[in-house]
Amino acid sequence: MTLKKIVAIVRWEFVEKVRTKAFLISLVLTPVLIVGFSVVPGLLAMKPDTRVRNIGVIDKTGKVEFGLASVLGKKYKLENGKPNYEVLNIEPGNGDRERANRMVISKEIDAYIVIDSSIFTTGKFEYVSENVSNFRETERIQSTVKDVVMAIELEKRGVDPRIVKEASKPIELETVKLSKEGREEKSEGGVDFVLGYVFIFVFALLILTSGQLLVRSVVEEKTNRIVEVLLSSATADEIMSGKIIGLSLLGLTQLAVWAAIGVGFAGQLAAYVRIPDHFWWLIVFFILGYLFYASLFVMAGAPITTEQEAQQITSYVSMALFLPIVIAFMIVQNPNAGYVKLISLFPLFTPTMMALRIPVQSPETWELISGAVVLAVSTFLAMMAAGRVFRIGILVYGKRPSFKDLLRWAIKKG
Amino acid sequence: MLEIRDLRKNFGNTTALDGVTFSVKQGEIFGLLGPNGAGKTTTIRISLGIIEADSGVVQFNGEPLTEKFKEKLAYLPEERGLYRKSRVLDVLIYFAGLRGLSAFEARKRAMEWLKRFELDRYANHKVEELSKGMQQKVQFISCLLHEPQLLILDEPFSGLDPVNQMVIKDTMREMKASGKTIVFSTHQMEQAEKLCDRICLIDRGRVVLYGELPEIKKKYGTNSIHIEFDGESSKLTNIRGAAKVDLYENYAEIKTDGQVSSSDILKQVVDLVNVRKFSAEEASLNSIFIQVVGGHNDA
Repeated sequence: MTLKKIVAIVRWEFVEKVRTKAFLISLVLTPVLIVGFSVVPGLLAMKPDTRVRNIGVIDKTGKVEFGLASVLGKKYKLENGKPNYEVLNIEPGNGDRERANRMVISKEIDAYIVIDSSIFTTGKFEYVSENVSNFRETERIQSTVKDVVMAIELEKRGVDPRIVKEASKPIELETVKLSKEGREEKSEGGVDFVLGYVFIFVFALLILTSGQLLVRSVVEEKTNRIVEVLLSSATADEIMSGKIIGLSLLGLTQLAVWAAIGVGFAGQLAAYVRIPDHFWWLIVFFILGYLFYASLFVMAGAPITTEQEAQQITSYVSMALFLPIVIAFMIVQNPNAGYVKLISLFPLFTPTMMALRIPVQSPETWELISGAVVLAVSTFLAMMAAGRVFRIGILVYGKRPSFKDLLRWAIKKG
Repeated sequence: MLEIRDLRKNFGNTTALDGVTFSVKQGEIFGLLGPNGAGKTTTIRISLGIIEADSGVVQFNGEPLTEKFKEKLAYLPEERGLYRKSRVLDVLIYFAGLRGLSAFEARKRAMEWLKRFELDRYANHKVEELSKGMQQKVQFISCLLHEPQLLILDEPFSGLDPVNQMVIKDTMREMKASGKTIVFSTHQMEQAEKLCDRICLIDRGRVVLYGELPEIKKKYGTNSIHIEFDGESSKLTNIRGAAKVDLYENYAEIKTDGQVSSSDILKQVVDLVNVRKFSAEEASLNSIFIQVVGGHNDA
């Protein structure tokens, strides 16, 4: 293998793809879409109200409105200290809903609730507004109404209102994590887990983008028979290495841009993430895992001729990548169960399983070492096999070779 | 320059090459001929190390194909293609780079060649914006930039219009004049006849004709002579050097046995009848091809 040729191929694969419109669009559009669909509605919903919201109440019980008005008014304030909600009593009686509806439409009130006398038995009431997806508001009103109704019920049974108030104090949970060395650390369990997800997401994204690009570029060169020109000027190993390196760089570039955007948005979250004990192991598993999956992509991708087949391959690989997420809940509940340990030693899942387990509860050192060794050996074998399959596969047209064929190529010395 | 000895290759149950042997000399244009499916492309692919032979030897200047020699080599595959989404100039620089040429030098030479092939204004266009013929010329250029010692062209003329065929032909002759060696395969005998010094005719994986073009013509070719005359046609039955004589009223067709020249025949005929028109046709490679291959070729 000569470095010069590999460099030429790396540069070609990288520069030609970077320049394409499709790449530039996905580079910018993907994060915009992700942010657009996940973060923005959240941010909007979290945005505090800037003006008083007027809530009408049709109280057919005659008992709830008073309590509701005082509690809502005290509990939720605007930034300037004024009450967030102003409660307006609407006399129940003939045509009360029609009146209320007109008030909503004329913007006199923002919403109204209807409290039926049956609320004490059914526990149900209505919220009417032009926009009923303001979850924060419905949530607040619901919980306030619930408190008021409960207080009325308890008072009816002769319980002191002060006791009611004291008893309905909120309870909060604080989690403390005990590390192997016996250190106690305050930690948000959920956030710890985020690191595992981020790892899998980044890992999968890199593999799928570069893998897909790799398969596509092989398919293109095969359909155009460019592969023959390439093979008459470089060896199959040079072509394969050049492609893997070039397209990985491409994937990394994409990640770097996205990470920069991501940090901008999720910077606050990062402050909560604790660097786990075996952070460096994560990097080892990331690199080994990446090379392992890349080899698999080469083996699966070299013999195919059409785009459809390429997509099939990608979907199989995605399944393997995301399996740990599917069983993530079981892992979190019991990260040291026997079957979890067993799955972690299966090279296809080692990187992702470890990524979930390391931040939650560090696996034993022997597990990390044996996982890494198994993965390293598998990666080495996979790369050898990939080289052989690639050499033959890129010249195969039409009928897809059977698994047996692939195996034969992989074992046969080139 | 290129030495091929006893190549054999089977694809499953089909025998593609059944002992192909020939050699190509430095500085010649060598024609690898044969009907479709004869094994021309397989021979070329094996020579270039793209696929492996079951057995046989390929040597370049007495050595197996080395990485070093690959830089002195150019290959134009039969089924054409370039990166469709890439720019013409970039593709040319990339291919030249794989053969060890610096980007700077490649760019310079690429522009020269593009200009010569009247493609310079497309240098920054995407390949897919070019017509098929233009793409083919770009591909041909990609074989020239690194100034190869040996060019292997698989059906270089297929799909080109006569004007562009001419351009390619001229370039090939020019390459030869500057000492380069060219091997090209074709099933169009007229092309081979005009360009080749020596040929190798392959049929069903076997070499059926091999050698200098004039020699082969002499050996296999029978000249045919057409005469229009006034006079007694029976006088023409006994002509020296005629293998076969077909007589009609005032018209005769004579096939020579290859030992006597056409002018010899003319001399004899003039003494016997009053010749109005005399024409001699040399056997074409095409007719030899049909004669040698035609018997069983149903492709």
